[in-house]
Amino acid sequence: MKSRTVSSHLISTAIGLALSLSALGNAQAAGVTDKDILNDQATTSDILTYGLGPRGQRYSPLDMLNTKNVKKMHPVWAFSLGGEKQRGQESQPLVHDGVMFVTGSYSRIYAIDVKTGDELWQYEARLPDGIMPCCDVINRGAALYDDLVIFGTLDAILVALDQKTGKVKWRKKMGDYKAGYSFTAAPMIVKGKVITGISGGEFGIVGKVEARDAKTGELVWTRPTVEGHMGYLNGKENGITGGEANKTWPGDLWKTGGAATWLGGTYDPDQDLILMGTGNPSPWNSHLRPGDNLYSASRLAIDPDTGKIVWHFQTTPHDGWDFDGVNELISFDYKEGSKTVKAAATADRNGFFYVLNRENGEFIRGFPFIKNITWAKGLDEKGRPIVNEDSRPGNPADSEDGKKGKTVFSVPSFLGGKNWMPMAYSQDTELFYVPSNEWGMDIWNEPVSYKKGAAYLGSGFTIKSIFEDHIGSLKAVDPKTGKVVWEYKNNAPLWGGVLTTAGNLVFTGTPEGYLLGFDAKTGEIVYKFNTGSGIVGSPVTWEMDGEQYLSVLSGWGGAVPLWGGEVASRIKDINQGGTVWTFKLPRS
Amino acid sequence: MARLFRCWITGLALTAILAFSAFSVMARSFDDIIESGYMTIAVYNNFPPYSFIENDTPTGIDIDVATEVAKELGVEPRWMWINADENLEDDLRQAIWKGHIITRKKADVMMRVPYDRKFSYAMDGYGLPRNEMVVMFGPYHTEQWALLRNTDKTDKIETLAIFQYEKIAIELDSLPDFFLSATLNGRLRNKIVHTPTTFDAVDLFNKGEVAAVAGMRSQLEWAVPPRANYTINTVGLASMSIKSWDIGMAVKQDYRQLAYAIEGITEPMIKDGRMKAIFDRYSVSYLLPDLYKE
Repeated sequence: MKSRTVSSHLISTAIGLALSLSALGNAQAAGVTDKDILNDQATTSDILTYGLGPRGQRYSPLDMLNTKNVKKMHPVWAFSLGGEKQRGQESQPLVHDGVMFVTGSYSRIYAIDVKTGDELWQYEARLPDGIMPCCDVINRGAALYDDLVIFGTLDAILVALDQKTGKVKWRKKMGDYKAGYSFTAAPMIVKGKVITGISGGEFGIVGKVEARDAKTGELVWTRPTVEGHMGYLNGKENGITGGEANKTWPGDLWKTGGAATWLGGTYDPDQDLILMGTGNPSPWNSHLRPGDNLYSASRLAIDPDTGKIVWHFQTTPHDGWDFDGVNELISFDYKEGSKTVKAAATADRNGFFYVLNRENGEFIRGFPFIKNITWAKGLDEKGRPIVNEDSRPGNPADSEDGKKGKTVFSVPSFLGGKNWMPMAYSQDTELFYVPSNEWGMDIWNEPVSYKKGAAYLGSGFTIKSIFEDHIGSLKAVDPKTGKVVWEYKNNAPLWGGVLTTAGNLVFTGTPEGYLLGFDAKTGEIVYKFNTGSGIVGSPVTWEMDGEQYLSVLSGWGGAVPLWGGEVASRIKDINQGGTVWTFKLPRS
Repeated sequence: MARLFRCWITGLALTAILAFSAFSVMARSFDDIIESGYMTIAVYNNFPPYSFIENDTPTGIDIDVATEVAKELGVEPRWMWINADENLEDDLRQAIWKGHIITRKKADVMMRVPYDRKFSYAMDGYGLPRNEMVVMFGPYHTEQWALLRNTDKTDKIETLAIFQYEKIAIELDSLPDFFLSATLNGRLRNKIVHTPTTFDAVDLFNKGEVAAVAGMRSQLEWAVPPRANYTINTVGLASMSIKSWDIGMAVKQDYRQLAYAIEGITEPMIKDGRMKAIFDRYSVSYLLPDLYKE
């Protein structure tokens, strides 16, 4: 069930051989340990984790590159993902022991010599014919542990490969693709276990978080994310999620309640908690499922040893707008007087930015990070939205006469004030850099619909811009006050991750193809380079031989190109691609 | 991901992407199909009584209809088994005009595509045609929603009120699910048992765990042999927004010549009773499509 090609480039020249020997001489090629992973943010010579450290802050203490010299930064190599399979490249590279690991569209992964950009090996998962991936055939990255590189495929298989050879060490099925399960997120390593969520907000599936022994792939625990479902630890029953069924769901709908954990999570070593978000509840029509529908559209704090839910925070109770609660929850500390607050922050699809106490999940404060939110008037003192019921999409029962139901205009659109693309937190400026989008949607019930040979009642909508000159908006947000310190406006919607560094820099990419560098304090653009295709990946930076490098994937795709109308007009001239770009300063 | 909305948009947004799509495969003309000696036909995977595998053999109403069409065209039928996506627009994209997202394979014609002018000519929210990439043609029967009841449990009560007390099984996220969950102010909601397919619902019915099943008439008739205490009818469903709909076929927009040729075969089949004979083989009532009614 796999195909693998090992590049003949591997040590193809005497120079290459000499280089790799010297690399071996310097640092014995040791396997990645839990300690390495916990220290990832501080150790700047490697990138072992999605998020540049388990907290997912995407902050690097490197400052060789700074606002003064960054304009001289130039590409040192570019690596093509090749073939005709050039679709959205949402991946974040990892760097370890002289090798860069990059995942690509269509469930591919590459090992690249980080000095030269030469391919060492590539692995392409063979995907079954019948697979129906939602949205796009993307992958967001891999995890490293011991001598393994681990990533998940569109048909929901978790694969561990030998870092050196690309040979398969183990393969485990996370769910049945025929039932609608898929996988696109980067796995995460916590205490020797590989932690995964699952994609597929399809009807009939229930989200879950799972832990496997990273070395063998054996399942340790599984935790369903919908109330009423049993969790398991070492094959034994380990408590029902939420205690019992039907507390916040009517009838038997909890059995198929959705809440997919499709974006993976972060880990807070201080509290020893996995922080994982969940998607929207199912079915889509909220009028059929009165109640909060726990734990959909929530953030869960999970004990990594047992898979028990320690606390939860629901951002959109009784969701009716498709506001997935999957966006990353980033742990950070801040001072309040003399007190250190152990906080965590997230910028939700629903347009609100939340600061939580990560010791207990309690709401500290929240505020809108996009303009003109319509669906809620605000948040109450516990962080629960004060919903504007007029803006809830109409009840399909009202369309039983076969006519289009009422049209509701809602901000943000279901694509969210912020979608999957990860924000960054700077320990220097103490600001979050949030890649957001300002857009709304018209939404209505669509009675003229069909599904698998049967009449159906769908939902129709159009995405609409709010402002003439931009949808995309990168904002520097102060988590202590809610103040937007600066904003960069982009014509097309932003869909790529953000990186910030101790060099007072913020980097992100745009659909127009630019890698942009900003002054972290002021938002002034200090770097601009066109990568030739849209950027929807997440940049990283690391240090090698005393120089600071930066890498980002370019390759347009993801969900954005799937739209029509006003959004399409902003992106129609963007070409496909699939390239890893690596930059540094010229040697002085 | 939350699939509903995201996959719906793929169906909406065709024009812009499609025009520049690197995926476009050259369309086979009618002459190409005849000359090649085969025709690729998209049918839903594991979907009795329309298209399924029995004893390693493609079987079902749609298989038989398409086989007859291919025979008259003088070509071999080749099957492209597709898994249904979130809605028909997605299936048409994958099977007919753009090709499967992974394999890029396409079919020449797709079976079991509703024939509904309101749908064919529907506009999206931007005022653009929703389905301009395909031609929907050749209605060959009419499908309808029906209720299978065990009258030992429902007694003589034919209104839906009985389902405040007796369980009814329905395929999750189907139109009868929406209807029965919402009707009578949601009073039936706690007696609805959701199943992945209508056949799972019929299994519960056969075990006596539910009093009724709501689903497509053809599926209920095929799955449940007639018995004295079983009824299959539409009583109680009169206020559903769509009670019945015609089923036809689809080809890519520039395959019209193929559509005309196929319609030239199915129309006589309907008129001379061969179509009904196919349905009879599967114990399914044959309901004439609107186009061929008096």
